[in-house]
Formats: sequence, structure tokens, C-alpha cells
Amino acid sequence: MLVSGPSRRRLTAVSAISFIAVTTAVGASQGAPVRFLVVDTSLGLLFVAAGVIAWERRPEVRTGPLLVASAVLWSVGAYAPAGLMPWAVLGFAFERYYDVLLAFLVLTFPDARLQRWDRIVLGALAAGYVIRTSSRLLVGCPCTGSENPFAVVEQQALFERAQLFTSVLIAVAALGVVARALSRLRSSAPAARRILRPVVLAGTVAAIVAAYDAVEIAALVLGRNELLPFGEPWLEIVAWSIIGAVALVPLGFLVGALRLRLRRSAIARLALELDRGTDPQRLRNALRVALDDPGLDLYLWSSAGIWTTASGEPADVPAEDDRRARTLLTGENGAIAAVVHDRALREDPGLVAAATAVLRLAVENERLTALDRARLEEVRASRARLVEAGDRERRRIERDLHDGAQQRLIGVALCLRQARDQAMATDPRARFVDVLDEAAEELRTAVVELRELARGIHPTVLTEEGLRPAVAGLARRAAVPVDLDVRCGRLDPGVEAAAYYIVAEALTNVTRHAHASGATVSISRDDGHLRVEVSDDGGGGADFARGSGLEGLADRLDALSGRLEVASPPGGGTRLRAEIPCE
Amino acid sequence: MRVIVADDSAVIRAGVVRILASAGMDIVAEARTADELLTAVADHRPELCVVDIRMPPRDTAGLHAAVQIRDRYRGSVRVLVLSQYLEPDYALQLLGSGVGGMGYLLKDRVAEGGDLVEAAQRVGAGGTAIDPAVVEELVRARRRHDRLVRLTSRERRVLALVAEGRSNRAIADRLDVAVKTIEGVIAVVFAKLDLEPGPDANRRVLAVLVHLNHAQPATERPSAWG
Repeated sequence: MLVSGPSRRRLTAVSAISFIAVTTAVGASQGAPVRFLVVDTSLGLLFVAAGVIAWERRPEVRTGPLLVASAVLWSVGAYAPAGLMPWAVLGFAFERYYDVLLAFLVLTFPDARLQRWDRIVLGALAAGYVIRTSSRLLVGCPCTGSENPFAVVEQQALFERAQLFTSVLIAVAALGVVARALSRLRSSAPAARRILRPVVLAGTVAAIVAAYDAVEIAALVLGRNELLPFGEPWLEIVAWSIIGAVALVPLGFLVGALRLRLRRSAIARLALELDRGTDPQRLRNALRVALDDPGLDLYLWSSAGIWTTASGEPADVPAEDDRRARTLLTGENGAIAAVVHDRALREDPGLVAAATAVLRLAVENERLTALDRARLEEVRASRARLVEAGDRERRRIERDLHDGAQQRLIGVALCLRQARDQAMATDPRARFVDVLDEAAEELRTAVVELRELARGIHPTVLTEEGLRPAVAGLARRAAVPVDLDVRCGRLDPGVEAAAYYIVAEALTNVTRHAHASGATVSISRDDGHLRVEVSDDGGGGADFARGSGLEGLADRLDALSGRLEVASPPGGGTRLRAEIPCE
Repeated sequence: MRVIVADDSAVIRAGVVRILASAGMDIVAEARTADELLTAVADHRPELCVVDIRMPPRDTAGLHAAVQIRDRYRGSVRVLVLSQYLEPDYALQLLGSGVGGMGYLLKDRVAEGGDLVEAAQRVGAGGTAIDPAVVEELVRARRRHDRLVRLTSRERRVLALVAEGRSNRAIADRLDVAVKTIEGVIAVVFAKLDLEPGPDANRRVLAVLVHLNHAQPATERPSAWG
């Protein structure tokens, strides 16, 4: 395309205005009455202005260009009274063609298709004007008061008959257009009606004026100079009323186009609304508002492979009938959603397309979000299972150490003791009594070490008695005095284990790095959270990032949807805070 | 003394039975689980049960059985718990309100037959026996809190021995001083720690243990000693 949209519009508008200027100039040079010139030119410019605005605001509908074209066709008629040959004949022959454009506009506004009867009345109207043009061009008649250079025959009777016939045809067709427009208005959905009303009003006025004009010509032919049985000033009033009514025509179309724009901005609001959440019922309600169709229903294709209503119940999407239509949304993997709406909305397919595009985004978004959420939840759950399995394994190892190795070592120690007792009984000074004593001592050390090891792996007291005595044990064995404040009862084992290991790790760090003289542990439970806080009065500046056990703890907390915070400003002690959701 | 030995390990049960029998005790029954123990106690009404803390069906089934026996027989059946856990909380649970006749000994002591026999005899006679390692952990933690700073090392030593459940006589023997001296030391220690010098030996043990444990909060179940 050589010219871009805005410049094309500008060019067209300038051309139309130039054309109007030329016709005005021609009319003026031929001594046309000033008020006719003023009225014709003003109405022409009004059409151009309305057309340009409509075109500018609603480039995708044809209202704008058609209004501008109407302006040109309008001003063609201004040649009629010019008297300048051959322009006067051309103007006379081609006058009122804009009626066809306006009728087309009113029957299709904003972008509907022509129905059968629409085509018939439009065809009749167009035929009427074409036949009239042919007769006015090709048939000469002295009655026109000017010489026709295009005429092939001079025959008044033929000319008059043609004028009569086309006038009747045009008048009937124009009234047919009025009937079609009104019926279209009546059968529209409330929302569409609001937009159609100014357009239909404007079109009706234009069509009635066209019919009146045609009837007037017919009356003229039939020898009745005055159609209306009024004298001056009534005729003058009627003439000006007609001009005023015609002036309303471009305005009507403009208002219609602008209302269409307003309605489409409802789509923008729909998008905004859906941005706040895509609960299906909310989605449906937003669509109802945006499309101004309170009976609208939304059906979603669920992951289970069935249709569900907005409230989630399984349902079949109703078939189309003479009131309802359905619009199906499909995505990569087939159907996503179906919208069952007022059939009248089909008249504005652009609107439905825009709404469903927004809907598609929302539904797809929702689907992906749900998928993400499910995957995240899956990851979290599998992590929780890993931690749980780890804890189970620790408990198992601890039990095995106690029930297996430790019991056996104590059993061996008992046997050793028996052997020693027997040895003592036979020979108290025997060398191997000392060896047995040594072995018994070694065994004892092994048992003590094993006990410490088992406790480090998993403290039985935590499983059996809960967080408070287990944490008290940690505090007792810490290198610095620990103030304890534990306010909670028994909790979920995973939560207890997490809290326990947090305190254990924190106190280990206090012992290792903090140069602290004391630490505080407080554990409390409120509004569904267990809060664990361990702080010391040491040097702070602890670097937990590198190789500390905190990483593992953070993972553990993540698995429980908990949070871990560490603050260790240099010189300000170290504070570790964890928050774990718990029932 | 009529004794029931409960342990799920046959080797240890046999070892404990042998040691106690050789000290002249009469082993009237053996048990492998907490339920067997409770049934055996009901059947034999022994003076003493020596119970493994860890028996089927759960990790501390022996401890719970011991507390049940204490509460059901009101001190007429005494219980010495042998434990793998260096856990003062368990010891305090076992002592309850200090009725006496309860003991908490680490299991590895059984190989040193003397400790086992001594503890069994003390508990069997209605006294209290707390493993020195358990007392030591409490004393160490308490000292860390600087609360025992006013005690001399000898006073601390005496305090630990009191906490283990030893009588003034036994403490005097062990430290090789006169009983009067020990009585004096204990009076001083109790005064320094603001403890009531109770007449009952078992309550004295409990008071000292609770005091030592006081650096830590009370366990969840106040009933454990209340």
C-alpha cells in the first residue's frame, strides 16, 4: 500500500472537500441562490466531517468512508440547478445516489451482512436511481428547461413515464428500507439496539426524505406542482425541516459509530476485570456485562474431558436456536470454552471476537496457572516426602542403633563381665582379668559414643515427648547458657523435626562462631504458625551462605511452606527466625 | 527380694537376671514386652521390677509401664528403669511426685554389676536412684547458667550425690567424712539454693533435680512431678 491509513483518510477528506468546493464555486458562478449554496455546502461538509470522525475512530467499520463518499454524491446534486452545460445535466442525472449508500449503511451497520429482503429493497432502490439516471441522460425533454448534449432521443412522454416509474420505484424501495431498518432495530439485543437506534433514525429520515423527493417528482410529472396543499410559509417550513432532518443523518451515523466505540471499550474493561482473577463465574459475569447480554452462559472444557458450567457442574453446551448462538473457543489442544449468547450479537461479530479473544487469554492463562500451581505443589509435596522419608530413615537408624548395635554391645559387656567374674573366682591375679577389664572399659566407651551418635541422628525424646524436652536437651548441652521459652504442645512430626533441627543448627553455630555469652530460644505458636527464634549476643556477621547446615534447613522449611530468616549484622549478634505453618 | 526383669533382648535379660540372682535376689518372672511386664506384676506382686525403657510396642514403652506400675501400686512395687537415653526429662517423669522406690539407670551400667545391684537394692528399699551421668548433665547445664557459682566444689559434689538418690550415710562413706559433716554441707547447700530441707529423702532428690533442671522450663506435663 502506497499511502498509510491516516494519510489515506486525509487525502480522501481533502479530495471530498475540494470536490464540494468546486461544486459550490460552479453553483455560485451560475447564480444559484446563496441560501441553497450555503445549505448544500454545509450539509456536504457535515457529511465529510462525520465521515472523517467515524473513520478516524472506527477505522475497521465502513461507516466513515461511506459517509465521505455520500458527501461527494451529495454535492453532485448541487450541479443540478447550475445551468452550466453539460454539468447541470450530469448533476441532474446523478442526484441522490447517496441514498443508496446510506441505505446500505443503515442495513449493515456496523458490519452485519445483508439479509435477503435487505438485498431486494437495496437492489430496487439502486435500480430506481440507475434507471432514472439513464432516462435523464439519454432521453431529452424540453420540460427540463435545458439542452441535454447526451440525449439520444427527444421524447417528453418517455421521459415523463420514466420519471414516474423510477419515482414510484424509489419511493417504495425507500419505504422498504425504512421497514427493514425498523425491523432490524426491533429484533436486536438491548445492547445492539442502543447502538443501532441513532443509525436507524438517521437512515429512516434519509429514506423518508428520499421517498418524499421521489413522490414530489412524480407529482410534478403528473402535473401537480404542489404536493402539499399548503401555501407559503408552510412550504418554506417543510423545506427547511427536511434540510434539518437531512442534517441529522450524518450525525446519526456518527453517534452510532461512537457508541460502537464505547461498547468496544467494554472489552477493555473486560480485560481489566479478568486481570484481577479468572474464576469462571466472575469470567461469565464480566462477559455478560461486556456484551450486555444477561442471558449469556459460559461453558469450559475441563481437564476431565467434559463440559462444565461456570459453577463447575458438568453440562452439555446447548444447541443453537433462533435466540441463542454459540461461539466456540479453541486452543492448541482443541476446545477451551464455549460462549452461548444472544443471537443478535452475531450482528457485531467484531465485538464477540474481541470478547472471546480476551476470554481465550484468560482461560488459557488460568489453565497454565493451574498447571504451574499443580506442578509447584507436586514439587513441594515431593520435597516434603523426601524430607519425611529422610526423617523416617533417621528414626529407623536410631532405632537400629539402640535395638541392634547398642543392645549387642551391652550383651557382650555382660558376657565379658561373667567371664571376668569366673576368672576372678579361679585366679584373681590372672593377666587376662586386666585384659577383660580393659575390654569392658572400651565397650563402655563405645556404648556411650553410640548413644551420642544415636541422639544426634534423631532424638527419641522428640518423637516420644515432643519439642519442649527435646529443645531443652539441646539447650542443656549447648556451650553457653540458653534461655528457653517454649510455648507449644505436640505438633505434626515434620513441623517438630524442622523446629528441632533449626534450634540444633542455630545453637551449634552459636557454639562454633558467635563468641557469645548467651543465647535465647523462643518457640511459640499463634494463628496457624509455629515461630522459632534463636538469637545470641555474640559478634554477629555470621556468614551462613557457605556450607552451613542452614541450606538444608531452608529446604526443609520450603517443603513445609515455611520461611527462614537470618540476620547477623556485625557486632549485633545473630538472630535466626523461622515460621512454619501448622494446623 | 522378689524381682521381675523385663527386657526384649534375651542376652541382656539373662545377664541382668544372673547379676541380680548372684546378689541374692529372687527373680520371680521375666518379661519381653510392656504388656507381659504389667501382667507379670499383677500376677506376682514383686517388690522390684528392673525394666528396659525400650520395649515393644514403642520406644519408651518401658517408661510408661513403669509410671503405670508406680501409680497403680502406690510404691509397693518399685521400679528401676534401665535406659539407653541420657534424658533427665524421662528421669523426672519417672520420679513423679517423689513417692520413692523409683530409679533411672543408664543401661551401660549393667556391665558393671556393682552399680546395677546397688541401684536395685536402693530402689527396692524404697529409695531413689538417678544415674550419675544424668545428674552430671543437669549440674553442668545449671553451672553454665552461673546459678551454682555460690557453691564450693565439695558442696557441688555433695549436691550431685544427693541428686543421685544417695543417703547421707552413703555420701559420707563415699567422701570418707563423718555423716554429721555431710548433714552440715547439705544444710548449707539447701540454704544457698533456697531449698526446703525436707525430711523425706525421696522428696529431697526430687527437689534437687527440679532445681537443677530449673534452668530449663518445666516439661509439658506438670503432673510429672506435681
